[in-house]
Amino acid sequence: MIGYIVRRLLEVVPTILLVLTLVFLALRVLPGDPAIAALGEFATPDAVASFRQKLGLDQPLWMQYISFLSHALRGDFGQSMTNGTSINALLADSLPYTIELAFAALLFGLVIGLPLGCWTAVRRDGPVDTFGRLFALAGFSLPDFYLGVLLLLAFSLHFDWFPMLGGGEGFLDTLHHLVLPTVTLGLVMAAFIMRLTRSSLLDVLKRDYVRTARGKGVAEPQVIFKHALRNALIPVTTGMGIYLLTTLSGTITVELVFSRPGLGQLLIGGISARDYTMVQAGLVVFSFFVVVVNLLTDLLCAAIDPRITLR
Amino acid sequence: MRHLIRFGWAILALAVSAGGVMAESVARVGVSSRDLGALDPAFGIGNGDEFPMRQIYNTLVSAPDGTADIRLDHLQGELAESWEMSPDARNFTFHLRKGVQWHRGYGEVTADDVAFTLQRMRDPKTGTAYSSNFRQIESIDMPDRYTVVVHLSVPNPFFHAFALMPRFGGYIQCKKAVEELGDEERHNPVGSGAFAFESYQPKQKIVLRAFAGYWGGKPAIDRLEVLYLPETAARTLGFVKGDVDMIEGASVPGWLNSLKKQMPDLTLDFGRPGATVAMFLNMTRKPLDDLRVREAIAHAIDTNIWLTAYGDFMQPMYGVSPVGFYGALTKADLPADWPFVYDPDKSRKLLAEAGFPNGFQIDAFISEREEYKSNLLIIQEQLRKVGIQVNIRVVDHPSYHADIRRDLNSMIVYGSGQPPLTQAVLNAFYDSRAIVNKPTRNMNFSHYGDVAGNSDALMDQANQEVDDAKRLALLKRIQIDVLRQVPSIPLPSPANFWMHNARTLQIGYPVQAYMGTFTLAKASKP
Repeated sequence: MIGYIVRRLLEVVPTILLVLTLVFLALRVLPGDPAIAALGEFATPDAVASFRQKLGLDQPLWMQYISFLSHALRGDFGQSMTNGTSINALLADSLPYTIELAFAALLFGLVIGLPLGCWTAVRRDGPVDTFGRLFALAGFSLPDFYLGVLLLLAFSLHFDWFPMLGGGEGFLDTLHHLVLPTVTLGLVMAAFIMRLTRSSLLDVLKRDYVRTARGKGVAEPQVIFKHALRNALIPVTTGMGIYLLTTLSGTITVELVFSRPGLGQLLIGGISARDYTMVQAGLVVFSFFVVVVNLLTDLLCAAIDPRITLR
Repeated sequence: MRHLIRFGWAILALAVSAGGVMAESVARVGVSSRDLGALDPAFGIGNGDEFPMRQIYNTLVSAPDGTADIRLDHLQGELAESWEMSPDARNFTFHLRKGVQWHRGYGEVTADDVAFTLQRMRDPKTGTAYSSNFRQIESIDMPDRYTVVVHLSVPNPFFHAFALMPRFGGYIQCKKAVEELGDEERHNPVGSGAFAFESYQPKQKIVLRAFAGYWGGKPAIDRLEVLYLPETAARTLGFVKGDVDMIEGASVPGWLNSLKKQMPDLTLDFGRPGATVAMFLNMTRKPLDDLRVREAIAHAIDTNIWLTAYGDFMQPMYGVSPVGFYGALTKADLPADWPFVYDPDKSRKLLAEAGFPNGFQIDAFISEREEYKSNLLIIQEQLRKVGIQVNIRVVDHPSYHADIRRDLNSMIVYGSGQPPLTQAVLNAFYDSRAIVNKPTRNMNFSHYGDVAGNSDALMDQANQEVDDAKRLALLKRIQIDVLRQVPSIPLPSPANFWMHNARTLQIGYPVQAYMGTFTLAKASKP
């Protein structure tokens, strides 16, 4: 197991290198000028030239690339081109907001989606199943930016139960600020997990060993939770891993709607200002998440299903 | 009994201290920027930087609170107690207020700080975007600790409007702090204004604290938070809910009217004169090189449409600058054969004369930003009616600004905040030295000056003219000369506007106009 983890982590290195290169090149291909974005409409050509020189943008592309790569591999993403703040400090400030939102949404999705998926599978075609299907339909069809605004209007503006702006300060305030963004992002996650659990469990419940267990007189809850659900969880876990990545990108929209100062805000701001250093760092961090989540998903699948061996 | 008395004292002390905490007066202001750029006046741009800078720093002089009146004898002093201009408009003398303190114990504001700031802004090595405003400074004298004399290389009776007032790099900085802090001053500034910088949380907010040693008296607001709220919906909802006391408005059709319905007691702080907006026609490109085609475009556009769509905050613009700018044309100034009169029949006739009886197609790109895009969409719809089809490509905002300066567009919609002087607009957009790709300001998108006429000499004369009546006459003449060639179509000017909830925040003076933004030094919480 440890050898497998080490090997997978080593595979991260070329992946990240590729990501770094692609991100670097893609940003340089994009039209737009970070100097004008940073200096504004009154920027004279002198000021623009001085800005470029200061940030090394007047260097040949290959020199910029080598400089960027050597710093990035040492974990130093430099300074924001637009406001001179250390990118590492910006990442350290923003990442917690994004990570806590992504995991809170995952937790919300699991807590709602898993039991509802089981319940609708067991009560197939009954009123509970109908409710579950409607819930999934709503979850999938409501865009998160729209749902976010609706929740803000109802629970923040009208009832005044939750704060409207920012990420909060201190543990309880942070939790309070997290509720509405979590519901916004977690609803579609819950719908996804519910659908996946339902269909997977329905499939397992038809299998011979389940019929045998029932024939032997094993109690129904034990049949479902001990025998069927464990097997049904393997595709759910894989699917959840993939969906967590979608959720991570979904944090960008939700952060904008709720004015949360997370990685999404950082990226959007960076792209609109052509802040190369900021976007490079943000995308590398997102890519790193993708690799880590994939690895964790594989490990989790192996833990659930003893037939899967990690080599 | 003794215990009871001590308990009573403890309760009283607690109540007093809680009262003290509760009494802290906090104002929250939502700006539309995504984050702070810089709080160093040499590098700050946009309202997200300008608003906090206006609270942190002082200028030498400024327009009276709540106005945009920039006449020298009408100005109010900030760091300067009195000032005078020499009769030839080449020397400006400022007598500084004594005893004005820098924040954080950096000592007294002196002539040395003023001279240092002006020289720093003028120095191309500083890399500030505002350096051209200071280029005319030939030398600076400091006859004593509290007097500064600025000598200009050419006469400029409005030098103060470009270089010494808020918005365009005119904030005075502490020499010692700039030298000590270097780049750190961008996010940790030392000023002399009503509020001192306390903290900055990236993408979230800046916190400012009332400066007890402020020369104008300690502000009634103890803590001022400037929140970065780029999403219009979040900013609006936060304002409606009362989480923020004041917000920057949004130039989106219908937005203002719907907000007014939600909050009938809303107070709008209009900043008029507003932005200078025009559609520039690139006269080096066919068929825009033909005056008849440009006139046809001018006659096809009905500017009243903007006034209907946007509501109160749009204002007609008759010349190159918004009404309210010094030297701006008014309706009464326009000659009888003015090309900017809505007349679609005349437009079709001119197109036929120019060889386009069935109209023509033209490509143009525009920024994704609502205030740009909606302008060109309105124009596209109106031109369609006379047979001109504008094929629009929407590009992101940084690309738009980069590419229009590379002379890649045919029809350039551009809006900007300029010092409220018609000569500033003429210099920026119609001087041949500012034609795109020339090493000056890069904002003459139409190529006027190289194509279809040249008013450079007259503009120089107007810039240097000391006599007010002669200067106004010159400005009128230049505008009529320029616009007769239709290098641009002036569009209605949107006001800069903020809005505050008068139930939670009083500004302390009536806001009738302002340049960019205004100070909260006199503000209070009711």
